[in-house]
Amino acid sequence: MDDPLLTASEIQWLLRQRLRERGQAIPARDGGQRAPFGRGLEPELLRRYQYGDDVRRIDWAATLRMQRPMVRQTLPVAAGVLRIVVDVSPSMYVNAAHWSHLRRLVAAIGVVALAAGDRVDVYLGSDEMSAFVDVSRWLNWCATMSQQPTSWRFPALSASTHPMVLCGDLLHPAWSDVLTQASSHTSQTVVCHWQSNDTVDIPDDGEYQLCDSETGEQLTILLDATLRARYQHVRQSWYAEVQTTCRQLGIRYVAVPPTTALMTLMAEVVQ
Amino acid sequence: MNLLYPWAGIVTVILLLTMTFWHLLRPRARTQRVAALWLWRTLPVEQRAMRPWVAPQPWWLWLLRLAVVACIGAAAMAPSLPVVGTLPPTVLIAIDRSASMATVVDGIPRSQQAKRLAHALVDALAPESVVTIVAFDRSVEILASQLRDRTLAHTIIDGIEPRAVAGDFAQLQRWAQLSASSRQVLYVIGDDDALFVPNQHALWRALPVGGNAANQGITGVRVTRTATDWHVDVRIEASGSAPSLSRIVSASDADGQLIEAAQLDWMSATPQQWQFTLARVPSVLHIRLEPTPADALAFDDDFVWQADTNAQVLVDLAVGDDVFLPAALRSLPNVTLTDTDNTNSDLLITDDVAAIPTPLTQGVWLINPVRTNALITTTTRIEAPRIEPLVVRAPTANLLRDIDVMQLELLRAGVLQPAYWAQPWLQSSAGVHAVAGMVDGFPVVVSAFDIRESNLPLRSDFPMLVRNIITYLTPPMRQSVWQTGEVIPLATINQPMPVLQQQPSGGQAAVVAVGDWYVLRGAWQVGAYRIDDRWYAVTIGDARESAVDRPMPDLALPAPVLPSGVSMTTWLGLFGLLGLLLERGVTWYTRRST
Repeated sequence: MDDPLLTASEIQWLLRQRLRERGQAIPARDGGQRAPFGRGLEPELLRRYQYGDDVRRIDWAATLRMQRPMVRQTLPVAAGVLRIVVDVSPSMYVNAAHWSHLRRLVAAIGVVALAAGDRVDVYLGSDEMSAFVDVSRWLNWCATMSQQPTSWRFPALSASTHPMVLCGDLLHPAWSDVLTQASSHTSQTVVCHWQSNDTVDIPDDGEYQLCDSETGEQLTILLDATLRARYQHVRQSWYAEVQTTCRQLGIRYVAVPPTTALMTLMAEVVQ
Repeated sequence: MNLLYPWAGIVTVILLLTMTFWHLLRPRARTQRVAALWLWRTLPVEQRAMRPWVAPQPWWLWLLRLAVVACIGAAAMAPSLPVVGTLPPTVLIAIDRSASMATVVDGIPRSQQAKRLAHALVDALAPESVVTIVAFDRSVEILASQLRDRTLAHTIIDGIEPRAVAGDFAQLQRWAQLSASSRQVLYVIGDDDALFVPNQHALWRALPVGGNAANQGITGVRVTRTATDWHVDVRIEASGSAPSLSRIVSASDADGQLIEAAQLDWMSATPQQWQFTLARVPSVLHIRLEPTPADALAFDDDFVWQADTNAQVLVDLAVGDDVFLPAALRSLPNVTLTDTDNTNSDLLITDDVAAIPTPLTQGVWLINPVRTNALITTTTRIEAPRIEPLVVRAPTANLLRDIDVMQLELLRAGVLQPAYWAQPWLQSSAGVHAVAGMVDGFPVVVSAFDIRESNLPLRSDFPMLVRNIITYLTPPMRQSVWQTGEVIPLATINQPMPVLQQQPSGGQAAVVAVGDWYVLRGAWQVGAYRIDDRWYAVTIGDARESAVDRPMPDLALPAPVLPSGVSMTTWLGLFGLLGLLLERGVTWYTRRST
């Protein structure tokens, strides 16, 4: 019998946790009250301006901050739903141990939401959604979750006030678009950025032919300590850029190194 | 420097070249699957050259690996450095050049073996050493004294060849006593006899070469039958390094009865001939050569000759109607009567009916010549002559052997006028009635009476008289046509002299025939040897015994005499292992730091 995705002690610990981003918390925070001037206090979504939008909804402060036109959209209040979007592209599966670690993280986040009475809607590599309200079913599903052989794309979600957690490595040239899409569907988005360092783990120097796990492209490099350090620097810079972009979009950013313990990660997620 | 396993060097060189080739060969890029490439594409990646070789760059770790392989490979070759200086500063090398050194043992002459040892000694000399080279046989000759030039020493050694004289170690001893000091080392290189030399004077080192082959022996026996008797020639050769050689040679019959004996002394290797004459040849002639009591050297050589008792005599009988003579001839063994005028017959018996062929081509027994002819003059015929005793001299004495002449009665007999060649062997008061002698080298017997007009055919000694006459008239057996080195066709020989005609090497061998002529030893020191009741043949002309397996001494100098050298295998192997450990450590540290 395979080992359970989460141990009993881990589950017990998770059941006592609470996510900051909860569907119930939003109406409780502002309660649909209206402000004396301007917009009311109902939940709103900050998103990119689209054709047909009311220009009065343009949030000028956000537009100035994002350097693009942004509008605020009033969202219907919907309680008790946590949306989890998981990147199941082949890049997440280059390392089997890392993939297992990702599943544990996703399962832990779902357990915390289910323990608070919320429903968990999961989106993998398509627009199809799987909903869970029971912890045991949720854990079983997570245990059988598999990666997709094709490239992953962000699902088409409807705008709502439901909080959303995005778990993925964002290793794609259009990573900023993914973040924008994630921020345009809800006002409570958490990005668990999977920071895989598999390439840096190549121990020996020499000539390598790198193969892209998703596109199959190949690149021949002469790996040595200098090139390894340069790549490390580029990657760290990209991590910082992703973090900056998330802050600009109002997305909470959680770095997920694959070697970090699950409890440590969850403590950062639920804080 | 000496290499025990040179092939290991070849393997090492191949390995080093392979390592160099491997180092210069561009490694094939390893495939590594990564999550995404787009971050890598932002880096300036070095372009890969298309050629399969990389530019040679000095890499000290690679050089260390080459050194490790070179050290281990050199250790596998087991090199050794010759040790010089172990021999004393003054060395004397005495090389035996007596006749025995020409003996070929296992395909290598003893002289060549001695030269190889001498060359090895010269090569082992210390640079400051001087060498004195001496050759000796019956005398001692100093070829080079206090020589420092090694090349010249090798040349002098190469020029030493065995001579046809016997060796004398006493001379070498005397020379060493006078010339060599106690601090010098005298290497005596010779055959086994050198071991008998006592260690008295200088520090002797005997280096024996060759096998323990006997240096003396009967090298040939020739038995010649003449008209009256038998001549035996025995050829005995001696060689070796003994100061003198004394042997007793004896001939005995099958019963061991001594026939002749003599003592032969040698002072050189000159072959000696021992001759003696036999009136009667025994069926077996055993010639033995044995040492004198004063001679301590072991020796074993003897020779057995067996007479031919089956030789056939072809008789051409032309005596008319006589029936007694043919009957007597047929009763004799080994006598065959042939047709008249058979030119291949050994003798002719005729009654002068036909003319006697002149000149003679064979022996003739002329019976009752009635008139003077080419051989004899008949003066008259008398009736009933009374035979008188006659003192018969050799060689015709054998004609009347075992015959009682006084009982002979003749009805009528002619009186012969003896010619210059004729010796009477039967006479009466009236004159000579029978003569014998050699005419033109052929024996002739004349009996001037008819056998049928005497009491001879009725007497029991008549066949004996016929046998005596036939024996006298039988021409001497042909001289030996066998020469040393010639292959002798042999009939099947029974005991006691089996002959091995086929050697293991495939060559033909011949030793002794039970026929006319016997023995021929092929060459020097070879012949028939009996070892453990087995007879071994010799290859004629090959000078090697066929079946005697003699151990060949190792030509390598014994360790106390000449150390082979200091082995460097241990040090090289140790360096190689240390280098290997260093290389492994550096490799591990490099990866760890990376």
